[in-house]
Amino acid sequence: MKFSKAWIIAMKDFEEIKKNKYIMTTLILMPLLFAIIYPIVFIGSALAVENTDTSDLEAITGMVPNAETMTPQQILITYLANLMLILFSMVPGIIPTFIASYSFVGEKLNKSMEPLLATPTTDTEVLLGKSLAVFLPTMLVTYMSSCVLVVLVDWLTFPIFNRLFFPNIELLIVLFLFAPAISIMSIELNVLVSSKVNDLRAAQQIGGLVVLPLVIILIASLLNIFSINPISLLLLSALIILLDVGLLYLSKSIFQREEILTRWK
Amino acid sequence: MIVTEGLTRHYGEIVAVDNLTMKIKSGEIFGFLGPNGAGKTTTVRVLCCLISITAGNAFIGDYQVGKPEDSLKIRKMVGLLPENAGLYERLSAYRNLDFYGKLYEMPETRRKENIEHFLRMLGLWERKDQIAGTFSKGMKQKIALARALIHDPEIIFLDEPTAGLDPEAAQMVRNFILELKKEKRTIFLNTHNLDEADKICDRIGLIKTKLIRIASPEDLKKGLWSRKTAIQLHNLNDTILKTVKQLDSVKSFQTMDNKLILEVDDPEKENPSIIEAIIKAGGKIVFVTEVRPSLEDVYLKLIKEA
Repeated sequence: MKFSKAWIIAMKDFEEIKKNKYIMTTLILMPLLFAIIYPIVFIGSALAVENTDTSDLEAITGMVPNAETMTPQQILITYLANLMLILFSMVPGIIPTFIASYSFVGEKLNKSMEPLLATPTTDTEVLLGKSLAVFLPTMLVTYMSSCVLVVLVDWLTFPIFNRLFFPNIELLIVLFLFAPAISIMSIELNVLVSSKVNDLRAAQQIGGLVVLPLVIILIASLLNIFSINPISLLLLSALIILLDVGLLYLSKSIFQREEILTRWK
Repeated sequence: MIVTEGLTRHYGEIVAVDNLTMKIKSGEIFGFLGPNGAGKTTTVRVLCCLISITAGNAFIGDYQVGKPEDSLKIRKMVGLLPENAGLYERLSAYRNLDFYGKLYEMPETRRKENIEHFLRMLGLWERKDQIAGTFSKGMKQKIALARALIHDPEIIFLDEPTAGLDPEAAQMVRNFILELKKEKRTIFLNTHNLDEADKICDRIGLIKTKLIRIASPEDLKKGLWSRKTAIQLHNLNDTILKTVKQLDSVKSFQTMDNKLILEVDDPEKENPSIIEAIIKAGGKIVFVTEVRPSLEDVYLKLIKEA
């Protein structure tokens, strides 16, 4: 396996992505909206509640680490900020469905896969190249929009905490472990979807199911079944990485010349 | 250069190619003819190491098709023009070719030279920076052809290269293929176009899952029909017919208005005495021509029999 060949394929895909207005608009607007709307809705609502009593927050106090050292408003903000981090993880989950649908299904529809597969490249080089073309822009926009999120949250919460709320350990785990793992899961799922559908929209819709685990985590947190803290985030990331390994094995077995040319619909 | 020995490919229960044995020489233009679903594209895909062989063997040069360590080497020495151009529509013609040149690990100078060489040959150099998606079907096909040649492959597989092209574009592609022959490249041409195969192929293989026949276009035609001579007369009458009937050199004949169509074993040797006899019988000859079966006649006959 030559990484240089995978990189050539990735660079070609980047170039195509850059020229696709639909993908570029989604890539810029969606993460930005998430980075702006979430802090305003979540932190803004917590700021609006000034006269909170600790007894009102009994249900969530146990979910916030070091809650005993915080004011009720700080507890509420910390709780909501953690929820917001899970919601923000949808960015690296959803973005790949848009790019990958074009990268995999688009290439299939355009009938450009056969000449590509006729070159002296291995299946792994092609798969890696196309995956990198999805993963790298996804992580780039995730990190760029996270900067907006961090600045906005810190600006909103500084008067309450008298210190910078972000970056904290939860954010670092989400950005550097959880988000990449979610992104890889989304890419692998899209490879599997690409072998079964012949329609970009269908691929995006099915690929979008990747946010389902995040929604489950969110509901579990709201129901106080799951607490968002560094340990739980590490465990969750490990679980998704395990899933990624399984999905990678599956997608590698599907992304083979023979399969693509004879069995892909 | 290309050898297949009992090459067989199944898709589940369906047999796409059955026991294909043939040899294609270096520098030859080999036409592969057959109806839709006859196994032409499958054969090309197998020979380009894109899909596996169910049974039998195939060799490209010194390399064996299906042997994992030979697959990359084979793909490096062959160029493929698939049925669909499959260009990257958002990229320019130049960038499409450059991308493939890089995948073939060509040095930058050679890559640039080859892109310019082929785009100029195909009359597209001036439009090299135009987005491929804006090109006509003929232009896209030309770029796809340049793409198949970008790495100077020894063997080129062309799958229906002129399908859907207007006559002018098709003619240009055909001329281009003949240019490639001058460069001693081996060309494997899948086509439905019998006229095209007749004009440019050195040999033709007829396939309908199994290989039906393999020969030069001329030999295919000669092998199936005895040679016939048509004699257009001014006045075909019973005396002339009686004379022709008595000639030993005429195996059979038929008439059509004032035209006599004779089946003769050796026209070059026998025709002068036949014509002399007809004139002696009072026949006034308008013209004499050889009746040649078309490749289409041959194709239809053989495919029907298969």
